Parts: sequence; C-alpha cells; structure tokens
Amino acid sequence: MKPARRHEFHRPNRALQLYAVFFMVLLYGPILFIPLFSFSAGLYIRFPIESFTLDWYGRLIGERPVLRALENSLRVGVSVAVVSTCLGVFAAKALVRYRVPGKGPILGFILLPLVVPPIIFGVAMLLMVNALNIPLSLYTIAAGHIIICLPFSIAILMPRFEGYDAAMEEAAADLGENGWWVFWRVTVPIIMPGIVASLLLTFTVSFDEFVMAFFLGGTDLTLPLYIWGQLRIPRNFPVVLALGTLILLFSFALVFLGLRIGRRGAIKLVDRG
Amino acid sequence: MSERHVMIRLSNISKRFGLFRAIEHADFDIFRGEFFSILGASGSGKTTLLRIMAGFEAASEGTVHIDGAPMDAVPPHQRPVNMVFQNYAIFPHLNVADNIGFGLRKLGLGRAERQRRIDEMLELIALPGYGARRSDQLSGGQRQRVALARALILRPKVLLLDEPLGALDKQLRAQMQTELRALQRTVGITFVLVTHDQEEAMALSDRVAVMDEGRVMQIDTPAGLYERPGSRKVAGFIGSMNFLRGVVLGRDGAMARVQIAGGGAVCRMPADRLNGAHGDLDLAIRPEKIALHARAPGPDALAGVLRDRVFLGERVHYTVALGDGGETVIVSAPNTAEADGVPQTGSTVWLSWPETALMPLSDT
Repeated sequence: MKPARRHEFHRPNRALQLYAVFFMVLLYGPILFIPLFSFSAGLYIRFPIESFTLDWYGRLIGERPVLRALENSLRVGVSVAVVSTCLGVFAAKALVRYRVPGKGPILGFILLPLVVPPIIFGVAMLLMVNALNIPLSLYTIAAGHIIICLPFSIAILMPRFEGYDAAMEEAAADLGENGWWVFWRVTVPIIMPGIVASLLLTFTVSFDEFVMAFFLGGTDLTLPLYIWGQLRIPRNFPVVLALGTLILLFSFALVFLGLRIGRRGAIKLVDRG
Repeated sequence: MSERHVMIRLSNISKRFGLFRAIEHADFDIFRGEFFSILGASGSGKTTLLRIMAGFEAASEGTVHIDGAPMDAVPPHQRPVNMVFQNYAIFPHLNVADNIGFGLRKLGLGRAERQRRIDEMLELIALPGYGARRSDQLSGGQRQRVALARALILRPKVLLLDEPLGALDKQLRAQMQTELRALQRTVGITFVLVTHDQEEAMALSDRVAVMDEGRVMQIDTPAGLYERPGSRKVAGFIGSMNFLRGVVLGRDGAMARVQIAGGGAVCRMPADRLNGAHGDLDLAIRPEKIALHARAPGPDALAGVLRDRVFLGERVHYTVALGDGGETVIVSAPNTAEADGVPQTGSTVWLSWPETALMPLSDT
C-alpha cells in the first residue's frame, strides 16, 4: 500500500523559484556590465572582450577633474548626511514622543519628497533660488539634497524612537538629569544605530543623486554631474565605467553597512522587550 | 499615629486631561517611613497621582508638598524622590553597575566612592558581582531589583513605585513582596506604591488609599479597609463581599435590630456602626464570616436554598439563594466544616454570623 502523499504547507514552489532567479538576473545583470567592461581594453561595449586591462583605473587616478568632483561630492554628501540626520532626530522625536496637532498630515508632508519626482522638485527649487537671487553652488545642491534625504532619515529614526519606552527618558530625569543630559546620556546612545544608519544612507543618496544636482549646480560639479559630462566623449567612456564601478562598490558597501547596523540595533531592542 | 512627620502632603489635587477628570480633589498626607499604597483599577487615576508626585505631570489644581517644601515649580530632576517604573526602564545601553550608578554623576564622587556605593547597592539587592552584566541578561525579578537599587542609591526622601510587581509571574511576585517589605524596613525610606492588586496592597502597606474614577474613596490600614469598608465600591474592591438590603427595626441598648430583606430574619449588629442611620439600609458581609447549617441553629438564622457548591481545596464556596429566591449569598467555609456531611444542592440550609460581622455601607 502506498502511503498518501503528505501535504506540506511550506513546500517550495519550483516555478516561483525560477521566476525569482529570472527576476534577479534581469534586475542586477545590467549593472554587472559596468564592472565587467571597465576591465576591457577596447573602447566599445561588445562581446567577445578581447583583452583585459587596469589602464582605465590608472587614468582615473591621474584625472584632476575627477578628484575635484569626488571632493565636491564628499563635501556635499557629508554635510547633507549630518544636517538631515540632525533634523531627522528632532523631527522623529517630536513626531513619536509629543502630542503634535495634525501629526498625520505633517508626517505625510515630510515624506512627500519620497514620491514627488526629483525633476519637479529640482525645477521648483531652481525657480525659487533664481527668484531669491541666490547663486548656484554646492550649497544649493546640498539644500536640494537635504530635502530629498530628510524623509529617509525620519523614516529610519522614527522606529528607533518607537522601539524604546519613553519611561527611559523619564527615568533619567527622575535620577537627576536635566533635558540636555537626558538627551546625551540616554536618548542618543539608545538611538545610535539609527543615527549611524541614517548618516550612511543619506550620504549615499546625496552622493549618487543626479537630478537635483543637475538643476541646482553651478560650475562646481559633483561626481554624477561629471560622469554625465564625460558620457558625451566616447574615448573617455571606459574611464567612466571604471569610476562607475568604484562608486557602485562604495555605495553598496555603505547601504549594506547602514542596513546591517540599523537591523542589528532593532533586533536588540526587541529582545529586551 | 498623631504627631507624625508628614513627608508628602497632597492639598486638594485635581487633574484634568481636556474634559476628562483624571483626579478630583485628592487631599491627604503620607507620613515619614510609611509604606503607603494607592490601590485602584486601571483608569482610576492612581498612576497619574504618582506621576504628579514625581513631577512628570502638573496638577491642574492643588499643591504637592514634599517634606514641607512646595513642589509646584520644581522639575522632576530636582525633586527629592526617585521612582521605580512599571517596566523598570532599565537603560539598555548600560550594564548593571552603570544603571545603578546613573544618578551619581551629579554628586561628583570619586571613582572609588562611586564603586563603593554601587557595590553596597548590589549587596542590598542580593546581586553581588552582577555589576558587569548586560541589562538584557537579567531575569524579570533581577531587573526589578536593579531598578530599585538605581532609585535607592540617591537616598531619596520618598521612593515611588509604579506597579513594580506587575510584570512578574505569580510566584516571583509573592517572593518580591516579601523582599520589598523587608527592604523598606531596612532603608526606612517612605514608599509610595501604586497597584491594582488588592492582595499586594494589603500585604505590603501600612496604609492604603483606594481610588476609583479619580476619587480617593477611603484611606485606612489594610485591616481597617477589610473590616470597615465605607462604601460599596471599596467593599467590592477589597476581597470578596456579599451585599444585602435591610431595614433598621430599632435598638436594644448597644445593639440594633436589623431585618434582612429576602430571608426575613432579624439580626443584631452594633448600633454605633449605623452612625444614626435608620430605615432602609445597604449591608455587606464577608463570605468567610458566614456559617452554613443543615439545621436551623436558632431563631436569628437566615433560611435559604443551596444552589451550588464549589470545592476549592482548603475552602468550599456555597451559593445560597435567600428566602424568596431573590438575592444570593456566597458562603466560604473551611473544608473541615463539612465533617457532618456534604449538603445537597436544592436542600434548605441556614446561615448565621457573629453580631460584629454585618457592615453598613454608604450609598456611593
């Protein structure tokens, strides 16, 4: 007698697995062409690759405008990360901890840049900056980036504040600390994983951002603007690929690190009840 | 009780949240060295009252004095009280020693003195050598003790405890009750404890304030609350209670004659308890003060029909419907009372009680 086949609720579905693999290849496959062809000796993107070289990376190091653009991007990125994370801490604390009238609409308004196309924001900002006679510079780029990054920062930090008991802060006050010391001795250490994750993510967003920078930039270029400029010069294309590969690696590492730190902290808090 | 040092004086405290009246006219004193409990159901305003003492909420009206000083303008971090929070609020980023020593920063102690005080506290809460433990490695009972130590290390004039045993399982709770009581006697600090658990309040406290819907209903010793509840609500909240209606028929010297509605029997109770009340009367009697008889023990006994019998181990609970079957009374008897036979449900039984067992209640 043949035993009846058991029904397993969590039985893997072959078709869905194939679909998942196909989806991943389609999504990430094209990105892999960039590092692949950055090592190709030829000028043009085509198979088969005839020979491999590290020349493009060598030329990259010698290219002064690249270094300038990198420096600009780092300056903007670091400033944007710090400012939007600070603002994000205050906003998240206010939204989670205090009874703010109209909390829902305010939150929606703050998170709006996540869904409004950057090109709309870029044009709007450009109009305003022009109307106020503010010269375009790295500062205007940074201002645009802060608007885009603030929602990320708040979205990362709000769960951190929701994740611990407000009695922690009351306990610190009860033990003799005023508001300033409560913030530094209790609030900041507890939300630290969120702060680090916010810094990393907002930096990455700013570092990679093109549209706002395109509208709000002056003569100082950020890295994505520089790449955009180089795309029109065919013989420089492999150099752009080399640069793109480095940016890709760097961004990926930062986001990975940020998510890891954020998640590790979250799990800890949940464990502690 | 007279001439005692008043540690906390609540003068006509009211608290409103919008239209909601959380506390209405709380007005009482807590004495130095006392273990005082505020007992009430959730939403009774008990925690709000504690938070007003700690300074986390401002009273809408009235003033809190602590050790003679008015606290209106004093923020929490400057009040001579410390608090044990409901879920202990142990700082997750600090180890046990740093949690306990958190409040010492402002005292500007040297490293050695700081360490000495923390060790002293670890000794007091019976967790010596636990200083380096991470807070998430502690059990519920240990967290509670760390929270106590963290609050007591500053030697406050008053320790406020917000449902400190609520998060513990039943067995641990009983053990921590004993420890808490012993600890309070050791340190001699005034304890103010908020709880919804009447057994906890009874077991721990010198005096208990019973709160309901923002009002302080009664303040008395545990025995006083149990034996002389002033109102139906307090009587129902503390222990279990039977409520009866009766009519005052008259007095013979120190005793009053009261006819119980339903059964029709006439009982006697001390006349001074009535406070001059006459006519219809609300009465209360504890289930364990009633004796159940299979045969009428005398003319004063109340007849009824046994509806149900529940065996609970050391005690047996009987449900008896009085006379015309209207009101039911619960009788709680030790299981030894059934030596001469188990009464059948549906049979007629008689109830009797000592003259001092019957309590008159006010309307509220």
